[in-house]
Amino acid sequence: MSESRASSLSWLFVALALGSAVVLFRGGGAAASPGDHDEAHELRHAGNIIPLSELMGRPELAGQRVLEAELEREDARLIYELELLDDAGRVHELYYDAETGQPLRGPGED
Amino acid sequence: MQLERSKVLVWDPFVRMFHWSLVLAYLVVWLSAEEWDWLHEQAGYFILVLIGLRVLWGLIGSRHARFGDFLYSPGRTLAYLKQLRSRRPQHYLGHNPAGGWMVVILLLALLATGGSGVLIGAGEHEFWEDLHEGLANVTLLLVFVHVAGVLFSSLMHNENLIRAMWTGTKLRRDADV
Repeated sequence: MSESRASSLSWLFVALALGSAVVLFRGGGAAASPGDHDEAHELRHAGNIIPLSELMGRPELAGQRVLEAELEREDARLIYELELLDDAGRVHELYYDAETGQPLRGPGED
Repeated sequence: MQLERSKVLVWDPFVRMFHWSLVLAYLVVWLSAEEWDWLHEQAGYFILVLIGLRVLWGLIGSRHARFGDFLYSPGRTLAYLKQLRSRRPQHYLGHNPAGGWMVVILLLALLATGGSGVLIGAGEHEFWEDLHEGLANVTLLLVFVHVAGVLFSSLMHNENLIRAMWTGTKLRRDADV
């Protein structure tokens, strides 16, 4: 391949990389996951999601220690991700639809 | 012997843009991990796109960007490492044999880390998450080896490789490969 051809192809690849960056990062803030505490608080008060305390009152969760509780957005859906320590000392994760309280097997699947 | 030290363009625009975009995106994925999921995921996808383009460029790109230019046999690579010990290594205009293998290993490690990250959302959440974290740590270790190699090689050959990756040019030497 000639030097000039290689050079213009190189710039084409630069453009492709930049284009992909624009596509991937466009509309950043709006689609951001509810990572911060404030937004979780707002969602909860607006009645969009059930409170974590309600979830923790469920029989299947009784007596388990919560190691970590996260509110995640998977596609358009809000999910509670709970990391629990059971009586036998085992760590496991459970997922719940944050709007309906439905237990989920994993994020994004029913 | 007269040293001919003419400036030549070694790294084409895409190679340089790829390298520094990757550095930036890599910082973003590390800093956003478990903090800002959206940013973490988009930056991760961006890294995968960059790797895809780099692999393609490694097949059809400019001379020193091609895998064929910088992938040397294990024997040749070992010989280069021995030369480093004797402190009189052969100077390569493109990647030296050790650096060439580092490129490939880093690309594979980033690909595996990114791939395992994508699969977190596809079920078997815990398995992929653990793998993703493990691979991310391996990759970080490789990044340290890479940076150490660049600094060491810069000292050995008395040339600023970091600047070369920014400007794209190197000084050609008489006995260059």
